Amino acid sequence: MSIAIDSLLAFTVALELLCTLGVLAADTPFDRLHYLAPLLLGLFALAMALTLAKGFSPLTLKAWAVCVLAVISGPIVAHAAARAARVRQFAGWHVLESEKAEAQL
Amino acid sequence: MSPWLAASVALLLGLLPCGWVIYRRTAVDGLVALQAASLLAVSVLLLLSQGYGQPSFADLGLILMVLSIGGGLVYARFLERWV
Repeated sequence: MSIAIDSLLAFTVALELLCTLGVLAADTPFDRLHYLAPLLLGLFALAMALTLAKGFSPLTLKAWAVCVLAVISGPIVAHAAARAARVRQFAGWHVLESEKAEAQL
Repeated sequence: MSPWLAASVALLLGLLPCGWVIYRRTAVDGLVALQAASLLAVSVLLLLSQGYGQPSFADLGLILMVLSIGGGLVYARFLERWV
């Protein structure tokens, strides 16, 4: 059991650190947004490790509540951030003529 | 040092790249980095809760998660309006 817990913890730490390095290394906000989703996977691994260590307890319930909230809110916040980035870049949320032409090709 | 505390210390290092992006890049880049930092901080609080045997610490993580949702949406809304 201890090996499983340690493995999940190591997975969480490695994945979340790699994601933050990805956020640092990416060029645009749209690229950076892609590194938020794997962070949720790290949260799930952490909740699983806590469940293995503590069983059914208030701490594990809170950890799983955090996971559920993160899964629900992650796409919403990512969409809002991407929309804000596009509006700032193109002064609107409309489809550009160049994008229409590209879509028809 | 228990593995939980060691993991929390290791995860704190992840806040440095996020802080660098917030400090050096554009506001929208900073918003994405802020969301990443929030998820990291939630993970750290959960790990500290288990490491110190204080389940009440996890309440902070839960509250931070809820507040980061609203905070991220409000920041995004204001950034759309060229703030």
